[in-house]
Amino acid sequence: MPEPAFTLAAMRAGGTYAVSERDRASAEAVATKLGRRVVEAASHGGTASLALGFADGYEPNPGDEVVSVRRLSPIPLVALAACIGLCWTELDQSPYPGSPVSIDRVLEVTTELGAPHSHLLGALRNELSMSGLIEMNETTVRLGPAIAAWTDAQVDTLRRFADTLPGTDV
Amino acid sequence: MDDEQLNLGFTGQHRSPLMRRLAAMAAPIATDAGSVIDDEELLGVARAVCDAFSHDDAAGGLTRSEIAARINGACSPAALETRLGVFVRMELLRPILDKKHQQRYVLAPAGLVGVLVVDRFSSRGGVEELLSLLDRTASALARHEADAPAVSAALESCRAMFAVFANELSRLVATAPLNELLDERRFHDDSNFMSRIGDLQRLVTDQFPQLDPSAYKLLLEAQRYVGVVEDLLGRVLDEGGGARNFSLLDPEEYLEAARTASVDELSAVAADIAFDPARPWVDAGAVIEAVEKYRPKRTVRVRPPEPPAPSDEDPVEQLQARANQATRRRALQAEALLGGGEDKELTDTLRGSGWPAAAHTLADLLVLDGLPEQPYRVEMGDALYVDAGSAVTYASPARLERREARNDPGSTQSQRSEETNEVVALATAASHPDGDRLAKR
Repeated sequence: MPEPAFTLAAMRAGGTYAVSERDRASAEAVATKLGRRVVEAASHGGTASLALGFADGYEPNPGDEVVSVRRLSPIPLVALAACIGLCWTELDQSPYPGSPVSIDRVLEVTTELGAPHSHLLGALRNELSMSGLIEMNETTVRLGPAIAAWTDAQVDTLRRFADTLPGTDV
Repeated sequence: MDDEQLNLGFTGQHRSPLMRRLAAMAAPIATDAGSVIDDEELLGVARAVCDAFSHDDAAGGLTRSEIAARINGACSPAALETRLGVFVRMELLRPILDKKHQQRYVLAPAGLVGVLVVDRFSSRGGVEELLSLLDRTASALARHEADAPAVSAALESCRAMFAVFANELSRLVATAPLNELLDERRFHDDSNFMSRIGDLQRLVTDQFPQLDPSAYKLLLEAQRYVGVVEDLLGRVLDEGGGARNFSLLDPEEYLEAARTASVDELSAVAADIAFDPARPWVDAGAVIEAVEKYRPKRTVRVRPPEPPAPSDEDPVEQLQARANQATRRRALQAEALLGGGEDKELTDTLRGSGWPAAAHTLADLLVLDGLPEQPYRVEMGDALYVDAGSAVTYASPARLERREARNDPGSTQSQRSEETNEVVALATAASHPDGDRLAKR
């Protein structure tokens, strides 16, 4: 049985980590004490793939001068917005996992905004995939476990402005 | 049944690696297999006893109790008594007088040398002796003090030592575990063997050509030894790489790996290491803001300015016209300086005109002096006026004179001279009180 600390570290390092129900309970107990939240990204039989997020109200505030974070440049953010707009079809549900959508459709929507095609494809394949915000195969895109770890407050914000996301007007 | 392997009593496994090497070293002078201590710690007692005699107050010998006091509890009294008994019987400690019932002992210098030999053997494993023999032989040859039989014997001894070391290393490479290989590796890290043997072989060939076959055999055996040492290092690195033991490589080997190894080979080191990638911070607000503010960059290409239209005039004529204009300007300047006279002392004028105006003026006048059609000559003196406080710190006497222009009839030079005469007339008129009258003339 892995230590809760190992389970949490594995979630951080890999984006998700599959654990049994009993390990999940111990990891959740430790995470709660740390202001973190364990989110289920997928479930297979007795094990669940868990992602690690922040508990509501415990997120760092990157706007102040204490916390310095790496941010994405505009093109990856626009590509992510298009992925969310296209994959999140049931707005009353959580955006994750949403519906898969073809890569061509994402590129079509974002190219209409004037973003360069090659930069968008690079952002999908590199920044967004590597940070777990989306998951890609050769033809389709779906939202990744990093989106599942967003807090309810974040999802509410996104829901209020969902009609401004690219691809939602079609 | 006991799971441990049976101790057959003659494998020496109960001794530490160091004591096994020391026992092998002492075997030629041992009377039985138990002549050498098994406990490595007892070597410290011998060192402590030798240290007890290392000051001048031991000149009169030390009693057993004085020795015990000086080693300051390095071992138990019983063990010390046993060791002192051995030392006395083997004459490491000798009675101060060769008579019965002597209570004071002195240290035999050979015993102290023995301790030093053991220490060196511990740290170098005997390779030092081989190097020493090589160096002694080369040194004797270099001084022309060696005879052929001695050199032949030394070459054979060295060859035999190389052969024995190579055989032992081959056995270890084939059978020994990693920790034993690591112990052995530190004894064989001298990289100068081949250069030393090369030097020795040259000396032997020069002085004793008949010993050249022996020197060659030594070289072959040394090459075999070096090859086996490389095999040893290769196995150490292979085993150490598998165990992810980074301490096995020295900085130079890391540098070589960084320069020569492939990406796959380098990345294999971290194949089992988990990394926590620094993920970018993305939240809903950043996504919405990016969509609202995103405007594609549109680069507007600005046409470069059109170059000026080429002139219809002949460029050579333009160049000539500019040159004539410059000459005309210089001639006017010269006439202004002459003030209508035939010559003028310019030293004070130049010094008073400041810097760089003085240099410009003098350079212009020297250009006129170099034009044969121009009626001006500049004469420079050898004196040097130095005035550190003024703008012109160094100046030589300069004098401007009018001379006869050397005209070449029918040539452009003649035309230039006519133009210059006109300039002179204008300039003179401008600077003379009766300018109008002179100009009309």
